[in-house]
Amino acid sequence: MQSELRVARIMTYIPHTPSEREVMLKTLGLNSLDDLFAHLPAEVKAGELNLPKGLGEMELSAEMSRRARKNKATNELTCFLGAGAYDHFIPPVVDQLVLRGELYSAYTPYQPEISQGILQIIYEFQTMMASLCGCDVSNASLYDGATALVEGCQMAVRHTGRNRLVLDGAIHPHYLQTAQTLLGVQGIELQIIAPKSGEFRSNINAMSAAMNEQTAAIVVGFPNFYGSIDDISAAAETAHKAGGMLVSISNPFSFGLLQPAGALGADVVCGEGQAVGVPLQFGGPYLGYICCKKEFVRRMPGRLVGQTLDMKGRRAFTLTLQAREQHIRREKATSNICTNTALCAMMSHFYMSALGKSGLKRAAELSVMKTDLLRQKLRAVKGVIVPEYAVFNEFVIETPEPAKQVLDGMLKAGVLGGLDLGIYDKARANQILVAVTEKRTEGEIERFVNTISS
Amino acid sequence: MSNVLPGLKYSKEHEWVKIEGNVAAIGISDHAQSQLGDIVFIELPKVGASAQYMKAVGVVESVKAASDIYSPVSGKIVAVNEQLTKTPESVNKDCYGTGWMVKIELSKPEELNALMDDKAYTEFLAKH
Repeated sequence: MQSELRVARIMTYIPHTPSEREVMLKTLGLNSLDDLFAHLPAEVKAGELNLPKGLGEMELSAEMSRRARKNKATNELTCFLGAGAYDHFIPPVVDQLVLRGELYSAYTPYQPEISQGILQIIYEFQTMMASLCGCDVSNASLYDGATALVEGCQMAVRHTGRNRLVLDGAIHPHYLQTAQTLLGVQGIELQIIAPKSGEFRSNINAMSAAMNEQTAAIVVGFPNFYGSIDDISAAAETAHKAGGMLVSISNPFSFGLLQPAGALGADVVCGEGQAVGVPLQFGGPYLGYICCKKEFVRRMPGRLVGQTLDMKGRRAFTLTLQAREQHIRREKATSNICTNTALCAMMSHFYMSALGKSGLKRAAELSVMKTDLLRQKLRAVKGVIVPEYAVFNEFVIETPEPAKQVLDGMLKAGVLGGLDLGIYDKARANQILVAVTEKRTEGEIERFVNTISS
Repeated sequence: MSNVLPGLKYSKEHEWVKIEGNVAAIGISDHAQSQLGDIVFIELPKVGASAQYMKAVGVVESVKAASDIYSPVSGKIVAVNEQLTKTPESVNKDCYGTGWMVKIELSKPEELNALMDDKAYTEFLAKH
């Protein structure tokens, strides 16, 4: 209560007076504001900043810089960590364009049609994403990969009127948790099918076998969490035969080189778009995206920009198919997403424009070649096992010592070696998920090998 | 003044019902289509699905709004007007003819008693 009073005194623009807060807390039967958040795990709370009273702006900013330096950024380390967020090269022109005041908006603007420039950029972003993913339509973007997965699943459930989904267990564990939470409360039944024991490939056969006429969709990771690229067209065929759909959770960067999921039969392609033009930026905000075949467009969540003609017959852009959305359809809307991550979508647009089709292909090719080079070198390292399966730019290795120990050692040498898979599964405590982007040099790949051997 | 066709039954949600033996053809009234404005999309149920009294069987989307189509009767869907997916504007042009939406095999014919005839519906429109 004391700290709260202090805040209220300093920040006088907080509209509630201490006595009003006390009344509200009393009504709720709580003693302090902290009680209101007691259900949150301690480790996710920011805690006290422990700043001395009355620092000047200059002293304060010096103090905060000093603290910020405790963080190690990827520009000081060599980053082989991926698992959904990747250290790709982004041309500086992207930053420069994004900082323009007329574009600097986190969301779809209000009265969007006044901002024709932003709508044109979003329209072009949609066109590029749809084309990259092998689909007919993309929306204006969603929040992140995990919620994009949920939205993709909901599209299938709504379209088929079926209440059951078969999910690939080789989707990011965080995404699966999000799906279990958000779909579980809607009473949607999820059957999660893990890869075969000791394997990292998506278990397409088992997923196909689990598909039936009560199931809305097969939901597959392509490339999956372990980097594996599998033949999802078989899953598409099974799903369609049973009157269901195929939803693919994909890293769109991979489609610079790989056959896109849409072309392989996926009806909905969605996931995390960070790899296509958004910096790592401390883990967010990122870029959820969702694309689909034309016949499903009215099941699509969120905002959609269309092209039209204005009163004078000139090319113009407008939000379209809004009858899907919450402000019109209320509780029957396709989703409660009512905006998009406009700034991140714009970054992605500028990135894709700067690289072009051939640039995206080259960046993807380089990532694959360098991934292959590192895998090759690691096969020769004593004690390290490189499981064999087809991958894009990410793969698993098994180490003789626990992954945590290996990674801590590498970090001391300035190498961010990857993700300790033991975090999610104790049986995987000796496994590391390693990602290689086009940014990694041969010398850096050599350093990875040297630091892991020592 | 909107057109109310004699010989049909009407619901308070502005659906019309035409009885053909044990089957009811259903659409929306002239009043409903004029209130909605230009209709751009119609979502219809699958043949074989079941319809329940006053529960949604489809959606009509116009440039202004999206509204549910409520089934004025219970039963099994025996036909849907597939043409409407291509030409939803038929509902604006000919709501009692080519603009029909679904045909339902009645499971509770007594539900028809709760509907209005053309005269009662005309009065209902005048009051609302």
